[in-house]
Amino acid sequence: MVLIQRLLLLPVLLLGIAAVSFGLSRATGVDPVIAIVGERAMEDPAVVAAARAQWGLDRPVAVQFLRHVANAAQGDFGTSFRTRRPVGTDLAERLPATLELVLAATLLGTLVGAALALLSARWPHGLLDQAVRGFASAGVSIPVFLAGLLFLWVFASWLDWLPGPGRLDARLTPPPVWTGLLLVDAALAMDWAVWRDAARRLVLPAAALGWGIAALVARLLRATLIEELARFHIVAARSRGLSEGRLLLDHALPNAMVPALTLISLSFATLVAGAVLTETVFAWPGVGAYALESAPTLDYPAIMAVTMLGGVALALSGVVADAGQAWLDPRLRDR
Amino acid sequence: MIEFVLGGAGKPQASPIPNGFPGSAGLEVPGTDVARARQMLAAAGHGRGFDVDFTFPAINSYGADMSLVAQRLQQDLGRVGIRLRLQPATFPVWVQQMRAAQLPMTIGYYAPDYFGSAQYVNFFGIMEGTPWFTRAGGGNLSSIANAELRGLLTRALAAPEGEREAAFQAVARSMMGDRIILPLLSPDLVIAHRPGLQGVRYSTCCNLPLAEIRPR
Repeated sequence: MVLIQRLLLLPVLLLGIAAVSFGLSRATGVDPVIAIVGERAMEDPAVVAAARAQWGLDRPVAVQFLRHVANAAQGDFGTSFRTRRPVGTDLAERLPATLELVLAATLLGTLVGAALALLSARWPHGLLDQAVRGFASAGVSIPVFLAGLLFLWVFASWLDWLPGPGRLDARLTPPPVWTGLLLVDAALAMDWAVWRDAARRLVLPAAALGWGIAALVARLLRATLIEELARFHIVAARSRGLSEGRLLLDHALPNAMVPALTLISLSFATLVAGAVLTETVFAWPGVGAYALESAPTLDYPAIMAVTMLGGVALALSGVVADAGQAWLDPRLRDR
Repeated sequence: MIEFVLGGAGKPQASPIPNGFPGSAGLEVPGTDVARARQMLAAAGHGRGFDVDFTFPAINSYGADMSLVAQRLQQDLGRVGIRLRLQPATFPVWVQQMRAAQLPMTIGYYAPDYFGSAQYVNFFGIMEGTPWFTRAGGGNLSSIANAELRGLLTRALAAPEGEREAAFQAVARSMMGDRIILPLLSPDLVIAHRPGLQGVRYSTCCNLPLAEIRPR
């Protein structure tokens, strides 16, 4: 029921996001025609008038908004002022790159964070626990762009273990596009040279992005695991002779994961439209880089589409988190 | 400036008409004379220097990062007491402010539409009807107009082939005398390609005509 309610509220949420992003874009007071026709053509009133008419910028602001909403409801997000292509086409090209990065970062961050939390909770207050807490503090304190630059310097430049920025070596031919996810498409095409290169290039940006997630997961999960391990059912299980490993993995972890799921889902959703810094440092052609290129040129259609994409990602992350929690905790299924 | 901004991959330019275009040959690039600059400022009543808001577009144009250019200008002008308050702006904001003649000082760039000098005069010339006449505040201070420039341009356009270079040189010198549009640098263009390609060439209007590139 809660899931259905969330899905029904999604259009309302998107309308609100569209209104806010539309309003903020227009509030800059800068003429968007500048981005369309360029500096020199602005001197020709006929060109400026023609551009306004062609892009619908000569209509009242309220009409522009309503047209945008009506078109967006049909999947048409307009044409980018900058690329001159449908924004939907631009995003369809960019989104797989971001999804691949964010999926890898979330998976890496979750696995590393969970592993560290389990070790930390198993031996609390010891040297290992201190080290894990230090790792977590560093992960939430160090800005992601700095982490990315550090990783590039150490692993790509100094040690030369991994390649530098970019999604694929420019000398390799990309595989045919089925999903847009390079690793999947390369595997489907059985192009293992491309697969290996793409996988190696994914490591550093995923690690830079995943470090923050691992830090948050480790901190939260450590706390909830320690709480769980003090509960009576754990004490009872321990007294019946269960190993510490089984206690942790089978009895404590599922309960402790419930709050962590929300954190992981939110992190994933935030990164879908927000991995700007990582994509910039690693020259990753994703949605974040697209947003960064669109913002300074006041590319309204692109800016609004990326904002709404972020809203959809956040809303769906809530649905996924709720579903995951219901799966982990049967008491939540009745809701 | 060229070393700082372009790593040495550029050339100075004497006039708003770029190097290699009609009228640019043999023009003298102004030298650096800090002492004389201070004297001139003192004589004009600015012995202690003055502050200027300097808004510039935070872009990279043909390899020249405008932020670096602005920083270098700040350093250079600081030596004679002119203190620039750097204000980077996004491109649309900069264009809007510039067209409204709101900027006391700025930097920009220009890439040609064709191989010809008249476009530079019609854009940068301080005469009625040009964009930079308005942007330089000519709407409020028409006395900045260069009275002889339009006549010089007309004569240059009408000049026969053998006299065109000299005619456009006169145009260039006149624009240099305005001391309103001050050229800073002309970036070198470096095009690298594999030996197996032909047709790779620089084009003044298109940079790189892709349609002409083919394998050998």
